[in-house]
Amino acid sequence: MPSADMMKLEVIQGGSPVKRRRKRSWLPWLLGALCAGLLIWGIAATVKAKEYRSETERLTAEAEVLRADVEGYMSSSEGYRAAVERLRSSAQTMYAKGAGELADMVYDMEISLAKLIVSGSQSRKILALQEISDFAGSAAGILAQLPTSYGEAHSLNRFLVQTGDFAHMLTQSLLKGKEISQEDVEQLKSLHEACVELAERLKASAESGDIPTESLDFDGFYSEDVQTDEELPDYPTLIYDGPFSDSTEKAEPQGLTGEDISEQEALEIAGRITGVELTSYGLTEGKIPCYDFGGATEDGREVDISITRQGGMLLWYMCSAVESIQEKPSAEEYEKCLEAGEKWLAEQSFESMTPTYEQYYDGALLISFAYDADGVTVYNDLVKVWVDRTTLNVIGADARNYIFSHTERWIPEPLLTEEEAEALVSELLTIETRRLAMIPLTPQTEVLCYEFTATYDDTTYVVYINAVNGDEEQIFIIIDDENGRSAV
Amino acid sequence: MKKTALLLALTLIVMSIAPVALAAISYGDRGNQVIQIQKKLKQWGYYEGSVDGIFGSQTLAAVKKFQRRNGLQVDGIVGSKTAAALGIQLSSSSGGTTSGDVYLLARIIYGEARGEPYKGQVAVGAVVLNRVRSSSFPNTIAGVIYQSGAFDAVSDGQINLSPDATALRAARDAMNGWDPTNGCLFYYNPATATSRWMLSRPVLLRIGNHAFC
Repeated sequence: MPSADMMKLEVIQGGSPVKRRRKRSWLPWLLGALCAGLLIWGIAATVKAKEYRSETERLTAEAEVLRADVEGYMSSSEGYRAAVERLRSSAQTMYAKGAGELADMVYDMEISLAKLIVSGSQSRKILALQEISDFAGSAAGILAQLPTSYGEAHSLNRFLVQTGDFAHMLTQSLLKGKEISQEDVEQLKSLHEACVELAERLKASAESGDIPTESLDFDGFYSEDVQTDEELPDYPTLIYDGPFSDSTEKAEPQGLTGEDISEQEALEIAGRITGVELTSYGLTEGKIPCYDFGGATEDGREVDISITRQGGMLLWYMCSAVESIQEKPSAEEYEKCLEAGEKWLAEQSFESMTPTYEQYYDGALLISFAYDADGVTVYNDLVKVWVDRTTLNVIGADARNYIFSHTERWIPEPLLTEEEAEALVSELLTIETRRLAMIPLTPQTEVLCYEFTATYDDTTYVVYINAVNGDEEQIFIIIDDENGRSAV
Repeated sequence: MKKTALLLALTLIVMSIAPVALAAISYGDRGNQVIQIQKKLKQWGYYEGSVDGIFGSQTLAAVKKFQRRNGLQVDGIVGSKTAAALGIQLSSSSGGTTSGDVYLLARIIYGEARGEPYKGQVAVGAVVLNRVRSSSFPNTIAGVIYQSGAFDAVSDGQINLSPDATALRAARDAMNGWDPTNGCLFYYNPATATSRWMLSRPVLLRIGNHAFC
């Protein structure tokens, strides 16, 4: 650092004394002026030289500081290098451990599958299936933490997730007293074979010592060496009904009816719903092809809306509330919002909808409406409606679930009476309300249940008793807090 | 078993959504977060009192001084902006039903898509949730987000920034089922993406700077 003192200029003093002479002549004046000029020049030069000196000193000092910096940097970069090395080595240890555990888990799956196939008792089978589902879940968890690209990992991930899912579905059915079918035994055998091969492959790769040292970046995750379908290891295709089954992932929407409409027609529908001027963003393909539009309200809030190509139905609509109210609404306010939501739904031709649960956030009250089929609440056919708590305008809606599942469905006649079903509910519970509902048991099966809302120990529960065979299919706990009411 | 329950709950009824209003820390508060604030303030020379976890007058003065020096609103309250400037994270306000998922989703949205149109922010959240439901990806929100290399914002640490109110709302809207992407599992920035595999995928839609596929 240059010192301020060094930079200080010396104060120039003096000037030449002027001698007075009686005889005035221009010569002494000239000489005097010359002398004075020389003197000033001399002083100025001295000052300049001093400045140069101090500048040199300053530069030298700076160079010294720099040299010290460089030395410091050299030594700290050594420390830095050592730290990097330590991190690298601990990452490698972690990844090596992960790779080993992954191989172990798949080996454990293989053993449990083998035992399951030859097991003769229900209880033994259930235990083995539970193990398979646990091992598969852990293996998938470990896989996600290893730096493997999407191309390498996704088919293995699918194999693990579907095996666990399948085992879980089989457990459910065994617990209900059903047997494992011959087709399922065949599927288990092919799963076992695949596990034998996979366990060996993973063990070899864990022992190869080819362990990564750092996590992947985005480009690494989507690296170009993605295997094509033909190159992928041959995992068996599982046929079952579960959340991660191929059939669920390939499910097509049931609720789309009617003719395809044009973008112009969709724009008109969207304009009617939002009441603002919209720009078209074109058609989005996907499971539910739709036209997207966007715009803004007069006060500048963003509006987005999507209308299905087939049938011109509202898929989703989003805007924000004018004010960001967070506190819980009063019963009276809730009623007003509910009324606004119901009125709006009827205007959009969603007929016969009944409110289920609600949430409130950022100035909006979100009400989930389910389809009501002659007194049976069909939870799959869900439309969510966001009502602005300040203006009571509808500022959002989501009909994806409804469009996916709404169809004219066959609803069985209950074989149990309400009293008979009620007798199957735990005696600890005090039942408050009762109704019939269709609930999803697996992604592709719905069952008719009596829905009992009941309390125990200041907590509200919802218990579902199968109206046909009396099974207790599901229990939810109602969480009622400052964010709304929801079931978990 | 948990997975199935989650998925059924997703389709059956509205998912339980966590409170996301962040608790601001102010005069009179006590606890771990106050300790964190005091430590930071002390470290940077704003606070000379003891690190006792009690937000008293000395802490108040230090917070105000910090806010003044850093161009923040000088209110003596450690809200999200002051917390971000201090480099600490505020926890959610209520106990019990707090689910970190909404907050984590908001963080990835903020890290990946702040500055994008609102719809584009919801879309990033929707892609995360579509992955949770897909068999090709991990089946938890944290698993999907922290999958090695899956998101730039995780690789470069931007996920650790405090999300703003918009990102939090986008996270809740995505959790509530809004999916502007119509089921997409991927997105990328066409201006910066280099993966040939990614670039070869058919693009379903574009929102702001992101192509979704």
